[in-house]
Amino acid sequence: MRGSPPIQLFLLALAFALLAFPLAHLTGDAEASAPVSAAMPAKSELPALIRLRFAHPPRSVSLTQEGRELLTGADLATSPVELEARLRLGSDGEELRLEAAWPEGTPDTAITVEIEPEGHEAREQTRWSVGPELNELLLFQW
Amino acid sequence: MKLTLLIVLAAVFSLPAQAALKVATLHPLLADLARQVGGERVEVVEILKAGSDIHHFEPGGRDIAAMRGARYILACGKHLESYLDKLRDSVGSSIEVIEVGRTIPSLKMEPGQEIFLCCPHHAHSSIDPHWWHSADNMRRAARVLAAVFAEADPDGEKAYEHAAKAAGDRFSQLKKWAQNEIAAIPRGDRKLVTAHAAFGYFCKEYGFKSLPVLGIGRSDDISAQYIAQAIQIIRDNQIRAVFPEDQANPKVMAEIVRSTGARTGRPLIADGTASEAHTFETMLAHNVRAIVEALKP
Repeated sequence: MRGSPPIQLFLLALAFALLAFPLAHLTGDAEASAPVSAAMPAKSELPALIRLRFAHPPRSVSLTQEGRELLTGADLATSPVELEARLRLGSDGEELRLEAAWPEGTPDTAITVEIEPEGHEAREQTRWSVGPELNELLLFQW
Repeated sequence: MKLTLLIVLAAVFSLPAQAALKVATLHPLLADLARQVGGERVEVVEILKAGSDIHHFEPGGRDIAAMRGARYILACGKHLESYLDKLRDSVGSSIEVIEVGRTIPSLKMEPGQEIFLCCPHHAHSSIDPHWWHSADNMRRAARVLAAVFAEADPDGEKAYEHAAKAAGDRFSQLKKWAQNEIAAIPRGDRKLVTAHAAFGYFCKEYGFKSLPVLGIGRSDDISAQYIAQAIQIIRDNQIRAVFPEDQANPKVMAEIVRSTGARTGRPLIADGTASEAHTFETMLAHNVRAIVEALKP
């Protein structure tokens, strides 16, 4: 037999001991820290063309981003309505709140919101009212 | 003699007016909505009551007997009640079964997510049957009931329309309240981790992403694979809180919480049949409060 068994045993034990540290870390009781809020990516503000199309002229329409009205000065007399606004864009998509009201007696009706930020493709979404009212969240992604 | 006549007349006029219409309901949410829309003109017989399990219910002989004399049986539809054809045969043609959810826009499960639906019976065509989590859908349902009741009781048409509009206005106000409450949750944290995909309509209405994970369901025997998947999903999506079912395995929940640091939120009401919250208003209020409590920073 070559070598010294005690030395070989010592080397083997050392190898196991070195493995023990990463194994203990993987399987031990390390407390996971609570996740922080998912960070929102940085946003840029861009000019955007907003186009509204509707089958029945609404009495009022509001499209807001983080509480900021985007449809200032919109003339709802005829469809489509086009206007420019400044839109904040992040890589995680934008959530806009659409609220609209029609005269009493209007049947369920649809409204389409199309948004084309400068340098980006147009995106559109259509929503249906329940009777004369509509209150919906729209998520746009570019 | 005059006194006797007066007493008799007083007794007659103090008797409750007979309802113009009798309906039977297969869900407590529909029973409450039928009362709101029908008022005193409609007698509501609850077949499936609060505290029952909609996924394992089928009307028996006593239930069929209780339905006799009803003009309509109100069902949720969207394949929730898989026994409707048998029920139609049992009650005969004199009672019409109305699937209230039939004209309500459906949500379909994403491909591959069918296993997260509540049970195989209710995964028909991968349509999510839990339409009652949306205030807009409940407004549509109120109008459906008003139209149905008016067909059988034309004299009550105006009353039904008025009541359906009033109910719809209340649901709209509740939706605005819910939106204001949920605004306290950062958008990146609006992820709803539940055992089953029963909250699709809620998530669509309030801007949440639904993340069903089987590891937090009610079972004593959850595979290690599902637990590991649940932990991975929670970590990958930086989930702040999970919402297990009422009878979720506590050891599994403890393992998930220990491994991820996520909080455990109060159980949500998925089926609208909880004894303590079986109207749309109480169910939505409970769920919104539980979600906001768990997810807001």
